[in-house]
Amino acid sequence: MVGPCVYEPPADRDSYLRKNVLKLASTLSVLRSEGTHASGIDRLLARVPSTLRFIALIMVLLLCSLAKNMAFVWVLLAIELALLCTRPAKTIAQIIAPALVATLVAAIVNLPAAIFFGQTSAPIRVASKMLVNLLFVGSYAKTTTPEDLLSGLSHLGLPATVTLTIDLTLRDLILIGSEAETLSEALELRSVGKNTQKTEGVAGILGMCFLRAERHARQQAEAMRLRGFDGTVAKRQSFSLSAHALVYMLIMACVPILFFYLEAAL
Amino acid sequence: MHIPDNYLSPATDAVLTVAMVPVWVHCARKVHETLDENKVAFLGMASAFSFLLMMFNVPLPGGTTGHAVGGTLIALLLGPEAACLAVSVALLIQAVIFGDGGILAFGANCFNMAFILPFAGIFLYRLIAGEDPSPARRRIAMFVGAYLGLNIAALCAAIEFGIQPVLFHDAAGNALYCPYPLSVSIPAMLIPHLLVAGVVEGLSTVLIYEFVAKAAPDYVVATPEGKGSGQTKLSLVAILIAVLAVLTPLGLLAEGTAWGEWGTDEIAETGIGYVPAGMEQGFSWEAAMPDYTFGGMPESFAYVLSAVVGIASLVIIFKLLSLTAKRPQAA
Repeated sequence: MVGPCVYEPPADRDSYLRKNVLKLASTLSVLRSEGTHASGIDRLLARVPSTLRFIALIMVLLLCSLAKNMAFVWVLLAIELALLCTRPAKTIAQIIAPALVATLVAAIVNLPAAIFFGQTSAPIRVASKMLVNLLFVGSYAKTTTPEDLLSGLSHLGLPATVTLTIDLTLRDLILIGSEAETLSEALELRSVGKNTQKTEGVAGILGMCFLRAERHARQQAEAMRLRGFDGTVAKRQSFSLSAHALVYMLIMACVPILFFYLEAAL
Repeated sequence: MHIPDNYLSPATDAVLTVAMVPVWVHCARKVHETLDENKVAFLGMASAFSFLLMMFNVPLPGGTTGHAVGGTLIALLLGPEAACLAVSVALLIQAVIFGDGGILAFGANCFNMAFILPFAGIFLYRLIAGEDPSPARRRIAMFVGAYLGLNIAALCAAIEFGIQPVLFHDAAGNALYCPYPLSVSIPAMLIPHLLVAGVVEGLSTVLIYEFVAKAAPDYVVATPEGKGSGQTKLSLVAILIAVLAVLTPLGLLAEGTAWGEWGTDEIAETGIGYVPAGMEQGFSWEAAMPDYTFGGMPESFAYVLSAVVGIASLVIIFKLLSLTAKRPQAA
């Protein structure tokens, strides 16, 4: 009788394939609208029209950047940390990681001002403002779906054609990302052991993605024409102010008041 | 009991920091082995209790102030190793962001409040409570353990202060760092802690433990004999933390600086007649929110905001650490 055969595939250097190309392709699937209601507060915020939240975000970013009194920046930091600590650990990590990296870069870039020009507070001021702004942007991005974001922008005057184009692009990106992920997995399985043709295989995946994107676009256009689309995009209806929106507006109105109060106290 | 910078010599700071390294390593390993991700995340809330207790200053005899620490409380909930890590992180945030406690003296502060206090506290609890204690005996053991744990930590701090003039002085005999010998530092630290701060520590430990044991019994790991039988509702614990945060300005009512935390402008007025050279020329750290204040903001509001920043930072840090912990076992 023949004993069991133990096969050890030879090692191959495919870390570039796995870590870069495949990662890039599967990242596209992240655009999928995942659950964004990570905490009770996020569920309440989701009931506020995204237009209002977008305007509030721009206002906070602007005031934080303009603030001369750092007390205002610390107040914003306290608010954002309080919101952040209610979210799950993974969400916190996804918001904080890029913010901390950028903050560190900002602090390093401003170090020469502290060392050579005696502006010792410059790195701290700039880095703190960078951190606060990025935490707010990261939280907004994590708790807002692309659809809500587009809806909010359309109420702010973004042309309907642009909104439609971005909407369709996002849907296609998600589809293409999923297909790229599947193709990459198939290539990886076919690359067990030594595969001298893996580079051509990766190029093939990208080519397939391009061809499928072209086919999606053609089929989308045909379907829209069959359903009577003549190139005119209807503007979205304006939103109505709910109780949640009114409370949100009252709270956000306190932010510029606090800004001017603290600037005057300086 | 927060030792500021330049009260201890750099050599003393270094020795105590080096002594803490194996303690931290052991505690990190033990927590990683014993606590799952939910409990590591809860450690953030437990650490928040310690942070808040350290913000509630109480007036002490002699015109100074003191505070509880909550180290024994965390040890009773999640074990002394978890308590060591929790209090260490709370002390780090206080030192870096709020300037409460020195940066160079961080190791010394952790040695007293993060190591000695919780380990002594739970050891004494187990000694007094014994096996399967009655509720009354358990509460007495908790109170005594927390009371004595805090006082043992205060004694350690007093010894660290008191040996400075003996070991580090100039040619004229003037102390370079803390100028008070053991004959002054020990009674100055111990008497207020024995009379007031220790009682506050004991009471707050018992009360908060009882609350958490009823509200979140799943998170009482180290002393299962005390946990309640109801469902775990972490929201109640969060509400208690929020209420304590709002009440933190009560700590501003106690006037006066804690013993051993005077600045160079205050120390000459205490009667020694000179400012030790090591303090005048020593290390200085500019905290972002010194003494829990914000520029131009009313003190009470700034105090509450500082509490929010501290609590949120602790919860976030331990939630991030929980990503490296093991998954909870299915019931």
